[in-house]
Order: sequence, then structure tokens, then C-alpha cells
Amino acid sequence: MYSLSRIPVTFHIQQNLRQRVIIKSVSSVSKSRYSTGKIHSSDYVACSQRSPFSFHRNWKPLQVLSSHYRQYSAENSIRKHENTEEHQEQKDTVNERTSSNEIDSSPDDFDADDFTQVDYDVSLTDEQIQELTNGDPELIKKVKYIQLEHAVVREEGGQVPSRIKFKNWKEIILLDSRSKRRKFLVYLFKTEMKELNARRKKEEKAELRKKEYEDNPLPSKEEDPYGMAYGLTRNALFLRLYDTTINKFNHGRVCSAMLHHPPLVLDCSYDEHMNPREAKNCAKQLELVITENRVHPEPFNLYLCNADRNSKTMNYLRRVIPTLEDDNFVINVKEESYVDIFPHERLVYLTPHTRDDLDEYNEDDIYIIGAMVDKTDPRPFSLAKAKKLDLRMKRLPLDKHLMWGLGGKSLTVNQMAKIMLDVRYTRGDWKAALNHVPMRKLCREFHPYPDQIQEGQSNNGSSRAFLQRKEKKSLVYEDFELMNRRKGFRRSEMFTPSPNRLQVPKIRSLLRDDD
Amino acid sequence: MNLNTAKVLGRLLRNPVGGSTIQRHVFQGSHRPFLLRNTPQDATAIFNNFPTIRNSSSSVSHHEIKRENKYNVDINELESTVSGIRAHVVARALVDVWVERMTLICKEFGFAELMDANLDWSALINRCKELDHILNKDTVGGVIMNSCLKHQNFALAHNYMNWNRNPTLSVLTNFMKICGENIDVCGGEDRLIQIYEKIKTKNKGVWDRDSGERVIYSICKTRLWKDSFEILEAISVGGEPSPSCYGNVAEAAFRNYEFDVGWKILHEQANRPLPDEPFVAWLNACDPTEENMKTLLEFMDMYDQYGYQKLSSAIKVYYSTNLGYKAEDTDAVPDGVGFVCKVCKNPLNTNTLSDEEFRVLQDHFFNRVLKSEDLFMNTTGEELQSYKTFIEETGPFDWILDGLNVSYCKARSGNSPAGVLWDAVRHFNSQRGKILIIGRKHMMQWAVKYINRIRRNSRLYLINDDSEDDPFLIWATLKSGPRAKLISNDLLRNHSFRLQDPELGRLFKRWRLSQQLSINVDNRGRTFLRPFVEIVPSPQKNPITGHWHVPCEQDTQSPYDVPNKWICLSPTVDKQK
Repeated sequence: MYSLSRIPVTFHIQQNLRQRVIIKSVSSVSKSRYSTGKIHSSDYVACSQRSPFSFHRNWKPLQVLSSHYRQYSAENSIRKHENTEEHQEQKDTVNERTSSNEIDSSPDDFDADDFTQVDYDVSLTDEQIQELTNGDPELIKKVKYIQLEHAVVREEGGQVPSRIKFKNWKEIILLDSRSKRRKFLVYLFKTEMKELNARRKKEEKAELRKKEYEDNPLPSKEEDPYGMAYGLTRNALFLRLYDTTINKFNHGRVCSAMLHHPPLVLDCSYDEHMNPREAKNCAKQLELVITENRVHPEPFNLYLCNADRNSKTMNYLRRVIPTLEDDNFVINVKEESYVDIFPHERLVYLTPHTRDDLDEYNEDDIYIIGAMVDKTDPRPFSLAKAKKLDLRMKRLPLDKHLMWGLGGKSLTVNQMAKIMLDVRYTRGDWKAALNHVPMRKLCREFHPYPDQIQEGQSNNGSSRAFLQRKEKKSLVYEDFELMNRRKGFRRSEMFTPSPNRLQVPKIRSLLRDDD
Repeated sequence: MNLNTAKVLGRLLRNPVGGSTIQRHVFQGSHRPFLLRNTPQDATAIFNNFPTIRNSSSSVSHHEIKRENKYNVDINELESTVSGIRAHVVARALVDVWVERMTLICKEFGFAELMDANLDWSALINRCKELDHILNKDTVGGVIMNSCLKHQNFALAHNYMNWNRNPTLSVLTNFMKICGENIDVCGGEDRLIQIYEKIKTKNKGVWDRDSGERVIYSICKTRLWKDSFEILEAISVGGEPSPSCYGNVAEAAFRNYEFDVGWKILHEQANRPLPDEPFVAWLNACDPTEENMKTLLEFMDMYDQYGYQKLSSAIKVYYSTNLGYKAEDTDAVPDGVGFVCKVCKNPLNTNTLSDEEFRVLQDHFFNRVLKSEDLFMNTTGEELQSYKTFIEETGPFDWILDGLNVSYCKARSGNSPAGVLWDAVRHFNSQRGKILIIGRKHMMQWAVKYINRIRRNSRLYLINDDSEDDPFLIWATLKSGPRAKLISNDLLRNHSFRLQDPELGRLFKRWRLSQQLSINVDNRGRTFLRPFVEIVPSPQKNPITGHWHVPCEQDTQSPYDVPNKWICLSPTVDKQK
């Protein structure tokens, strides 16, 4: 039996195949906590001063808040009943240990809230292990290995989640190096803390709302006999617009787009070249594409081609959009390739690796965007694919219209989709469409009035002030361009002499005349 | 001590300053910039030089009472020194500063005293828990042990282990590593084995990489070193153990005179960077013959593992004491024809590929890099076919130029890139060799004047704009025989990776270093050629004079991953007789 310490937790790996790691509180105080199912609130209050994921400053401990943990402790208590024998064993050994170490002077001076604020449990049931490993002894070993690794990282004060969900087990078991697993654990820890904080904030807000309702109760019948009192939650002039109403309107527009507008193809065939994390990002971007297309005034008829149902990307995408494969969901998900669906000569593959610029958006062409996130593998997959299928290739005219700064010229899928949507909507206004290229990639050192910069002083304080300026928004694209011209957009003034520049020799000649 | 002085003292101890200017800095106030020098010795010196600070920290001058209280450090004062640190590492930083302070104190009073001193562990742990809510009593123990390991403070770790009788697994493994580092102090092999047994009962034969490697480090110093194979196997369930870990095992094998086991491990791990220790252990353990030395040198040559400072000094000692050579550091200096040793003036041979190695490289390069998994990634099928026939009909060439790379090396001001390329071609024309230039099709838009001249004086092959030109270039050079030279400033590193075999990658690196020349064209159109490294090193014996020359010390490597230091070993007079 492996004990992490005398008081709070016991780490136990059983000898037979029922592999599980149970971390349980053994001491009397923790038992009482099991019974009440509450967590000592002072834990949170104490930690909230400096901890990284500290909760809201004005947060007051509420009874409801511990429900998250109550659930866990309830699970634990069930497990306790299940494994009474086991528990008896543990108790015995604990007694043995305490009796053997009577000199043990260490933990007496710790008070009651010395307990772990969170109890950790990364155990798996037999059925879960069977499902995870299919009885493969190597994988069972790895499960044990990961559980130990979790414990060791925690013991060194590292950031680990208190629970690993089963879907996350499926991912973590595929990771083959220590650093990858560690990063994944930190990621899980952060999401756990985020969820906890969100829950807390929500409950706080609910409390406030409840209080507000209590403070301002609805007028009684005597005060307001005809229900005509004006205000929120009372009588008002405007109908409330529900989300479903807005969705219906948007969907109606996409439906008409599916009948009358040109298709935009998202090529989902790059799944094998992406790791799980990239596939997840890719699914997220596809989701954004779908939502952005839906709210756009002139949407495309979206096609997801080469969409293998069992691929990582599609699995993630189905997780975020459960209705993806419904008949009435406004998107075309096809397992076959675009080459089989559309006429070959109309297809144009958009890839950053080619050298042909897409000068004009053509309504008759069908544009293909590769749904791929290439953070780890920089090889030109989309170029190879388009070459193999003998398709026309184009890239965005970034260099023609933008002053490029740092960063690669490949854009995310949703940025590409937005650019294509806007270039079509504005009838070929690239400057408006390329607003969706992230500003960090553009050249910010570009100065709007180059002749004001003296040589060697281009990076003085004034340019710093210019860097801090924020983008001004305008619905009229020309105004937008005018207001944000110093953001690295190429303008004709750069190349033609500006009025300022012309004035300089005039002044000189005046001076000469004076002399 | 007021708060300001406490802050200054804390900063002093965190960032020790050096030199004679310290006194002024401390007593004139903290506004002056500190000279930062992170050597603990300096900090100790400062601490010793300031009786006032020392007294004020314990605040009692009487010796006996001071002895009792000297370990009671004010935690709030220490905390003020870590105030600028991000919130979620503040507790860790506090522990680190605390351990550092303890190390400083006991460097003055001796480590032996600290081992049984009465330290206020619970105050530290309580404060850490307040600072960081993910820490508890046990996890703070892990943090403390990590810091002890970092500051190599065995006494403090020992003290903690006495205080906490039920340490966690990570505390135990960390402590075992500290014991392994201080094996003379901690109580010898028996203590280590005792801890090892304790750990084994706790983890039930499952070893994660962190704790496993710590345990291997220590267990290799005991009679149970063969257990490390079991641990290695257990670690590799979740990923490959680090090469230094294998190095420890090999070292133990050599120390216990099991040479076959040791060399087997080293050969398996030879493609990863290995530490010096196993090789030094080999030199210490083996019989002092030249044959044994040769096995080491062959290993170095075969896997390009030239070791670091420890190994080079061990080689020098081995040769001078055991084999009767005189060992000296040396450099390769140019001498008209080739390179000679600076000390003994004997010529040094550069490391070239043998015919068979060259053929292997030639065969594999076409399939693995030019074709690769997906032919369309680099080129197209038609293009590759036409290029192949072109090379077979017109080759072999003497100079193969990377057209785009050459034309973009420092351009003549106001001249087109084509002009630079023409300058280079003119230079090679005077060398009397067949020239091949590989470029892309968009080069046809360059100045027609120069392109026509280039066409008349060399072979120009233009590939598609979206094809990658490096593989074409390398393959043309390989196809033109072992003498052809490649002219490009590109380091071509990714191609050795694309060969997908470390053995081939090493061959490719050697070939590239010997056959590639970097080029520079200056403003007046003069062309300068320079090899990437002066001499491709390999350990070698001069057959006539019996001198050995061994390249060494990879930490002073040039940007092209080759050692540039040599050891010259000249046989003494007795030896020659």
C-alpha cells in the first residue's frame, strides 16, 4: 500500500486486475466532511488572495457552491460502500503505521483546514479500463503509469486536474512523451479551474438577480390594476426577440443561399496529418466558419467534402455541433471528393504555397479551402493535393494589398472563409476583405506620412504612440479604410508624391529668394 | 532591522553582488544598480563580510543564543524578496529563497550542524499553503526537496526527512538522488538501498520517468545497479528514457567491469547526445592498451560523438599516463596544400566518404528525398522524369550552383540578381569546369542581357515555380560523382532529417561539409568561395610518425555541428624505441 501522507489521501493499487487509484481521506475530520458533503469554505477564502485562478474578490462562501464537490464526495461514499473490505484493509494498515511511528512528531501542529482543498481521484472502473484498453496488457500498464505520473506531479506541487474525464483518458493514453502528457495535464487543470470559476460567477449573478427581484417586487393588483406599469419584466413597447427567432431568420437566408448562391468547399481530407490538438482546433475553426457564414448578409452554400465520419476532426465537430448531420441543418456534409461533385474546370484550390494571385473573385468558380491546422508539420499538403488532382491553384493577393510584417502567409480556415465572403459581398474590394487578416501579421512600423520621418529616427516615441492606437470601426468600408490607413495597408500615397512632399522644395525656394 | 534594510538584504542574498563595491552599495541605499553575479560563493562572502547584517538577522549578539536562533529566518522578510513573481509560483519561489538562505547560513557554520538542527518547518509550510491553494503539507515537501536538489543541500534534505516520517514518493526519490550525489556523507550504499526498498514498496513496480531517472542515478552507484534495467523497462512504457539515464547505467556497467553490457547500451543510444561519464568510466576501468583506446575512438568517429571537456581531459590523462604519449591541445592550421597540426606540424586528413558510403547515399537520396512519400510535395512526375533524363544526358558536372541562392547573396548595388549570378558564372568559367545552374522558371523575367550570357556559358535548368529546388541540386551533385562541388549558402539541414535514418543523415552531413562551398560576391563583382568548415574532423593516426590527433569538445562547436578543437598526442622517445 502506497500512502501519500498520514492524513488526507491513500493511494492504492490493487493486486488483481481491478486497477484503480483511490485517493481517500482517512482521518476523522474528513469523514465528517464526507457525511455532510460540504467543503470547508475557509479553504477558498484563504487561497483567494494570491492564487492564479483566484475567485472573485467579493465572493462570499455559499452553500450551493460546493455542489460540484458534493457530487464527487457522494461518488466516493458509494465507492466506499462497494469496497468495504478494501477500506477495512486500509484502515488496518493506517493503524499499524501510526502505532509503529509513535515518535512521529510532524503533523500535530496543523489545524483543521490543513486538508487538501480538492480531493484527487484519477481512478478508473474495470469497465472503463476494458473500454479504454481492450484488454491490451501494454495499455493497462500505461494507464497505471499515467496514474502514477499524475500523483508524482501533484506531489511536487505541479498543476494537475482533480479528475480526468473518460474522454480525456482516451486522449492522454495516446500521448507518447512525458512533456506532452504534462502539458495536457496543465491544460486540464486550467479548464477545470475555469469551469469552477464560471460556475461560481453564475451562481453569484443568480444571487444578485434574485436579490434585485426581491428588492423590486412586481406591483400589486391595487397599485397596477391594468398591468400597464412600464419597464423591464413589465409592460413594454417592443416584443422580445428570442434567439430562436434570429436563428430562424439566419437559417432562412442560408437556405436561399443553398438554392441560388455559389458553393464554397471545405476540404476535410487532411485529418491524418493533424495531431488530436490540431484536429480540435480545426473543428473549432470549421464551427466558426459555419456560424459566420450563417450571419453574413450574402452567405455561401457550404460544402464539407472528404468528410470521413470517423475522423478526429469530424468527431470533434460533431461534439460542438450535434445537429451537424441532421437533414434540416443548413450545410452539405459529403463523404465523396469535390472532384466527383463539381465540374473539374470550375474548381479552384486556394493555397498559400502557390505563386498565382487570385486577382478577381469569379462567381463562376468554386473555391476550395483546405480544412487544416499546420502547427507542427509545415509541408505543403494542399499544394501537393491540388497538383495531384490537376486543379487550378490560387493564393490570396496579400502582397498586392498589404504591407506584410511578421508571420506566415497561411491563414486560418475561418479567416479564409470570412475573406471570401466579404470579397464576394463587396464585389471585389480586396482591401475591405483583407481586414480579416490578423493585424499582428501586418507591418505596424509603416508610417502614414513617410516624409515626416527623419533618417535613423523611425522608431522614436511617436511611433510607439501610433502602435497603441486602436482600430476604429465603421460600417462603410471606405471610411474604415480612411480611418485605419496606418494599419499597414498599402495606399497609393505611398508611391505617388503626397502634397506634403511637394511642399518641401517650395519652402526651400522661398528661403532662397529671401537670401 | 527596518523593512527597507530587510529588502536590501533579501535582494542581496537573492542576487549576490561581487567586488569591492558591495559595501558602498549596501550602505548608500538601494537606488544604485546592482552588479548581478549569480555565484553562491560571492553571496556567502558578502554574508560573512557583514557582521552587522548577520547580527541584525539574529538580533542577539550572544553566541550561545545565536546558535539556537540562527535558523529562524523571518519568512515575511523573505517573502518581500519574491514579491514581483507571478502569483502561482510565489510559494515555490519562497521555498527556493528559504533553502538558498539555509544553504548560505550553513556554509558558514558547517553542514553537519544543520542535519540535526531544530528548524521551523511548519511555519514555512503553512505560509506556502496560504500563498498557493493547490499546495498542501505533502506537496510542499516535494517543492522543498526539489529546491534542496537544486542547491545541493544534503543536510537540509536530511533534516526534512527526519521531521517528516511519512514522506511521499516524490520526496523519497528526490532524497535518493541527493543521497546519490553525496554518497560519502549520507551513509553509503546501505542507506541508498534502504531508501530504494522503501520506494519499491510504495510504487508497486510502476516507475514514471521523473522518479525512475532519479532512482537510476543513485542505484547505479550501489551493488544493485542491475536493477536499473528493470526500471528502464518500466519507464519506457510511457516514453523513451533520457540518454543521460542510459549513460548512468553504462557508466555503472563499466565500473563493474561488464564491458559488453556497457558498449551495447552505448551503441543503442549512439544517435542521441550522450554524456561524458560512461566514456570516462570506460577509460578508467579498461586495461591500458592502445586497442581499448581505439574502440572509443572508433565509436566517436562512427557516431560523431566527440564528447565534452571531461572526456577530452580523460583522454589526455589516459594517453599520457598509460600509453606514454605527450598530450597537448592544438588547432588545425592551413598549410598551402592542406591542414597541419599546430603543434607537431604533421598533416591532418579531412574526413571524406568512402566509395561505398557515397554509393549508399546516392542510391537512397533519390527515393527518400526527391520522390519522398508524396511526389507532389516537391515536384511533379513529368518534371522529375525530364530532369532525370537531362542529368543523365548532359552530366556529370563539376560545379552545381543554386541559382536563386547565389543571386541573392550580397547583390551589387543597383544591379539585378541576374548580374550577380553572371559574376559567379564568369568566375567558375575561369576555373575550367562544367557548370550547372538550377533555378526556377520565374527567373526568365530577369534581365535578358545577363540571362542570355549565363545561358551561353553554362547549363541552366529551370524547375517549376512551386517545386523545391534543394533536392534537385543535391541529387545533381551526387549524380556527378564524389568530386563535384555544390555552391550554395543554404545549410540544407532538413534534408538530413528527410533521409529518415540517422546513419544516412550522418553520411549526408559529412558529404555536405566536404563538398559544399559557400559563396560571396562583392560589390565589384569578385567571387569568393569558402568551405563551410575548414576540415571535417575524425580521429586519426599518422602512420609514419605515430602521432594521434583526436577532435574533441562539442560545446565549442561551430554552427555546423562539428568540433573545432583537437588534441595532439605525440609518442615520447621511450615509446618510439
